[in-house]
Amino acid sequence: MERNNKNTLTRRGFIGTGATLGAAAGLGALPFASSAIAESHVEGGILTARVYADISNLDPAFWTSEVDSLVIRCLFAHSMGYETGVDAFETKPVAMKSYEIIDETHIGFELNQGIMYSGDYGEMTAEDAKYSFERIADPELNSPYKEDWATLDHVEVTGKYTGVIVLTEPFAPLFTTTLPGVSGVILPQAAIEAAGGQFSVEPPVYSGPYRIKDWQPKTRLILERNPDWTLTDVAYDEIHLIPIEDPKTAELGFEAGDLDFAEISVSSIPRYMSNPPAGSTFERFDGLAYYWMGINELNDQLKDKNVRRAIQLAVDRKTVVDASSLGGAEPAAGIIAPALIGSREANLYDRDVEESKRLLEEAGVANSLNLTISIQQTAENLAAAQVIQANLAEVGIQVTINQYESGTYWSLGSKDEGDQYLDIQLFLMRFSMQPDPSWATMWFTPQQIGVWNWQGFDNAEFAELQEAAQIELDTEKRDEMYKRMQDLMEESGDFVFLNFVPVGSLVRDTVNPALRPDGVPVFYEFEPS
Amino acid sequence: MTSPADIPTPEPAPEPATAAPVARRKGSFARLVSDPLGALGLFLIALTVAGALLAGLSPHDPVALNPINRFLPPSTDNWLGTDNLGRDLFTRVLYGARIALTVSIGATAIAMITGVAAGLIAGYGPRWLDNVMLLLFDAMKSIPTVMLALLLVTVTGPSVYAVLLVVVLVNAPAYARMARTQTLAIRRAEFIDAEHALGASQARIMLRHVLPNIIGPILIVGAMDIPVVVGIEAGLSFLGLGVRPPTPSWGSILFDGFSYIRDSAWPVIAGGLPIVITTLGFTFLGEALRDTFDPKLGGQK
Repeated sequence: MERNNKNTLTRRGFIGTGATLGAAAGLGALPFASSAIAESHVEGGILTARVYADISNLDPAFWTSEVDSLVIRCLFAHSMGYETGVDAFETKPVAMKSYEIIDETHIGFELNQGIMYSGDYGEMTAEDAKYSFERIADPELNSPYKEDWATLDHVEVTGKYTGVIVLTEPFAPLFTTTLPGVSGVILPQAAIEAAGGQFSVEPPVYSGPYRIKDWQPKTRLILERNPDWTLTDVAYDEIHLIPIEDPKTAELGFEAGDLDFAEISVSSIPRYMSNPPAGSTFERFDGLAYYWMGINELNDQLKDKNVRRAIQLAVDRKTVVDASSLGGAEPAAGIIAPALIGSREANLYDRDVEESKRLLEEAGVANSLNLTISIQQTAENLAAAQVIQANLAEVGIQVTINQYESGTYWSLGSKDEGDQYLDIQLFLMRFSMQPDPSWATMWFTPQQIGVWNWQGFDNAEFAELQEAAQIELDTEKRDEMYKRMQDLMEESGDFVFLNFVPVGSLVRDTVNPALRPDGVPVFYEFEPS
Repeated sequence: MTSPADIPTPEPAPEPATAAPVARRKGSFARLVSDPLGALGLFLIALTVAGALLAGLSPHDPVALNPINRFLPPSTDNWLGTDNLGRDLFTRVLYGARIALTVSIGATAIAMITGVAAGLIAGYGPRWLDNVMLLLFDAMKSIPTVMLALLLVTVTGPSVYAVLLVVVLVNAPAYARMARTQTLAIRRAEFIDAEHALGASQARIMLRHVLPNIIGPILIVGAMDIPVVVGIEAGLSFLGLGVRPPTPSWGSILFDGFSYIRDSAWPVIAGGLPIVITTLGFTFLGEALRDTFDPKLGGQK
């Protein structure tokens, strides 16, 4: 059986689920459709799934990768979650039983009763919500996710299970990414403080459907059913997550019968669409993750904007995307996917070889520029880099391809590793994404230089728009703001937008997966079919 | 205490340079090619060398991209088909032979020269120097190849030179140990003592009298090491630690092939076949050389 589930993430989808405060303000109390405590039923069995990396930090304030977030979702109760198996993003209750939009800056909530922490930490209460939300927002903690609670003033506890989130200003992503995301995880203060204020891969407490049974770094993570979890049904006794960095290897593993679920490479999507392995289903999603080539303006050879523009104009984006995805993706016009507000329809600069040569001549570096492009060693990156190498050779720029394993690669642009963030020149990068445009742009503010902003992109207007768009509840105004921000990114000469990354998943016929509209798995909702 | 390796063993003095050794060499070559394995080995090596030399005659550019024509099956135009970027695989294999042979023969030669020189000095020098160098050889030999490659690539960046350096550092200690042992075996031989008595310098004795007597077995080992080096170069390029793209290397062709094996099997075949051919060629030749020249096996076949 072969399926092709193209998601249709729409503005309507968000508005309809209270995604923006502006749309939902007049609705008053919004109890979730299903909030009854369910009995865990025993079906047993083991789910074995591929993840693209090992876990590295499971603290909701310091997680580092999508894999961390997938595991965090299994281990801790989130305030809200995303519906799976639907075409448009919709939120649903997890720890929060209901919420009430009192006004644009006051959101009342009520937690489900009976959510138990492991150990001696008792039952989840509104005090825990207050601690958890304010912890991430606390400037002293310096969480990289503090922007998720950018306008949080405080949380007022009004009862054992009830409270009010008090904002200094309205906050558009609150219901789209903050509460349903990792920043909406609720943990007990006592457990976090017992762990020294933060933790990494050894959680001091569990409150979700699963807990860690065994972790063999780089080999496997075994999650076992949490007996204290009663909020929803949990089907599998254990979930085995196997970190396999190379998706091509994961494909072989799946076809060999070692995996029940695997996200595959983009370049394999066309093949699996037409011919999925026997006994399995293939599903394709229009992912939100974005892929681009960064150009580091902090590097001495790339300080001249004309040089960066020449590089932008030299790259044949269509061929790059076609070669890396084998026809599985189309060129993108930005970093915000078409289904979200703020998505652009066209790029400002496209391939123009003659103009590129002219700019290089004007910059005085015609036929004398030698650059490096840094990539993680995957077949797709290598194919893309080789096309870019050939494109730039056409305008007289010689490019050397540097391939790195993931650990080394992700340190290249980090200020913490010394001055190497100034040395990196061109690089291919892919960022995962949550269903709000602020998540796409938040990594490119001046504060992120040397962290995630490897381009050294430093634009005051962009930074102002980033803040303004977060508190703007008018959808059309937000749309304009995010489009302008992408224009600024492209104008800077620091970015060559390549494509949004479609997601292809192989699922064994014995498994009924739970996948978000963008193809991201919610493992604890997987069931035997 | 004297270790077994330190016991001097008398070695016959080299024969005078007359016409006899030439005749013996001709006889040896005849024996080499009359051995089916030796002849096959020479043929396979000749095939690889010819491919490397004639690569420039291919009508295709080994790095020219043509993504529209990706994964084409073999045809009269593309004898081994095309890869994921539409490049002609046969042409890339031929150019890859240049890299493979340059690295394997070059690195083996450098490793051999370096190792033999160090071994001669260790074996012929004072005891303390021997002990120090032996420790150095063993220390270098104990470093795993991949670890060493990663270390060097981190410092120097991936390149052909990094591969050469890895191979030299990995193989030189083995040659050094062999040369040292052989040197120790003949350093007290009568013909060496005679040279001393005649006032010959240490360097002259080592180069003119010791070296010719120990080099034979080392050359045979060198020939048998070449396929190993071909494998190391291909392996490092497969891992992205060797030759940088788009320069064709059998290892990088194999990596592309592995990545897209479900789309087309030809890149894997194109990357794997020359490695098999070259490895077998040098292995067969090395074994035939050993059978021909090793005095313990000579004439027993």
